[in-house]
Amino acid sequence: MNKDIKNPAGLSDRDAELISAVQAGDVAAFDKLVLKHKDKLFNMVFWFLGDYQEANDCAQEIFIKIFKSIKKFRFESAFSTWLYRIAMNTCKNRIKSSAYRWKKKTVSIERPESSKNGNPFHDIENGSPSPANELEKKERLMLIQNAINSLPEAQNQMVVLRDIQGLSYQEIADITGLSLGTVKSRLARGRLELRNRLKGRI
Amino acid sequence: MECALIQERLSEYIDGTLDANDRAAVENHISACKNCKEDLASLTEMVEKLHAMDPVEAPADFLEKIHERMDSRFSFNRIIRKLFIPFRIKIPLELAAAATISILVFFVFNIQQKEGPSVQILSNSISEKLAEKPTEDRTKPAFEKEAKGVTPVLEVAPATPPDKEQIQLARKSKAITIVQPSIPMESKSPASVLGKAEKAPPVLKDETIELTLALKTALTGDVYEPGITMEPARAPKKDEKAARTGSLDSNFFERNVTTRYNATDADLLTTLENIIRRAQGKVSTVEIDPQTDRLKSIETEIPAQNYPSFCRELARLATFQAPPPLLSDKDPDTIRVRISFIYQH
Repeated sequence: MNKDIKNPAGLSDRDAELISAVQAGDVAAFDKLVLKHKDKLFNMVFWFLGDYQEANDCAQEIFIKIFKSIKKFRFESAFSTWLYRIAMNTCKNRIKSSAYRWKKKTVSIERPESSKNGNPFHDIENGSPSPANELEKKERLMLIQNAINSLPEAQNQMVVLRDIQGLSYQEIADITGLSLGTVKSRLARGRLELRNRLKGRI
Repeated sequence: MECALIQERLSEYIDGTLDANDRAAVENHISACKNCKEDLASLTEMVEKLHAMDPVEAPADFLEKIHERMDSRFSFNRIIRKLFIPFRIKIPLELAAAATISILVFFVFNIQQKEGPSVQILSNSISEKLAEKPTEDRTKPAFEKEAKGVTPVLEVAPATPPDKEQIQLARKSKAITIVQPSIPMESKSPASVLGKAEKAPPVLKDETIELTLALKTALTGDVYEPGITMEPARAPKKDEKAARTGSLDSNFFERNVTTRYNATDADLLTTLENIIRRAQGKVSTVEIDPQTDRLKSIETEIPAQNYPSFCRELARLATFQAPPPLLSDKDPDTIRVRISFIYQH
């Protein structure tokens, strides 16, 4: 079980320091903030959107939004909560956008063209030799990704935030603005549904 | 029923967030229910697999790309800001757009008004305008016979070139004839004449169509120099005869608007009679100016279907001072046309 689950991503001293510096006009501090949070954010966006290239574009957009509105940050919540809230809203808007829906219909988003490092499907696409277990791992990843993406949006969010990102119920409630009870019930339904979809496949 | 309740709590049981009582209830049920035990096992396995998955990482150039996008956005913002630098007070784009649209609407409206009034003149305003204009009764007895029961013809000679309003006046009231003053041909472009002809309203029933033709006199002082470039009039083609209302070929007037036809006075009358005959019409009145002995006007009745070809032949003879009005489908079979002549040097 993920150890991070029980460690809420609160506003660390380092985050507060960096945010204050950015608010004072230090652009380099923003770079440090990006480097610190980019991978966790990217992972979340990728699982929401189900497309590496789309996730890359969207994650960049999220950080630009953060930079533009960082002066409004009042240190009332954890930076990660604020970051994920903005990320979730940006992802939701993107999913609703006609361009995204068109792309999802016409392009196989499970196997994107991008081959930058970090792309989980990079090796498979290029046909480079990889150990059998590695191939099996990637295939499993694709299966899980397809199954998670096929869940209803509300359940998909809960599963990603809890089981992929490892956030606590309270953090999920803070990010989504839902009550703890709703978070628990949606997660329970999402997990059962996902289990049914993956039964005998992983 | 109990299984459904337990299944809802399995998720929290896996996460270890249930309180002691609920946890004990779930454990008791699982120990007795094989299905729920299997469900718990499969759910736990799936959640563990999800947790064990490697995170998908951002590409190496992630930060660099953010910088690129931010730079391009800021440079665009800078351009936008520079646009408003001359102004101390920044103008909101909405206000600027509204102002631009207002100016455009104002200009378009003005241009339309200048191009030509297409507004119908009310009968009241017509009578008011007529009352202001000096009138003179100069009708000939022959014409009176023709225009029985019709009020005397008036001749109005305005000092300014005729405008569309005056043309409409002449056509609205069958009693009024406006003799158009001579206007230099060059001042009138064929295109503008055509444009007006297309916009002219159709001729009404029982009205006399007034046509004014400008004839150029020769340099010798005679009205027409005899024997010079006597061009035989073209016989109208069958399709021209069949041409009906509204089918006046606008290009025809454009091509022939500057055509000249030299003939003697007698030739002029003969030519006109020939044109009328070809249009299957008959001459009803011929008016000669007693002072100059020149043909002043000629009135004729022609079948409406020959009107377009008739006008085309007249255009070959001389220049129309105003475009010939179009006919409408409601016109009678026979129409009255009065042609007035203006002599130009």
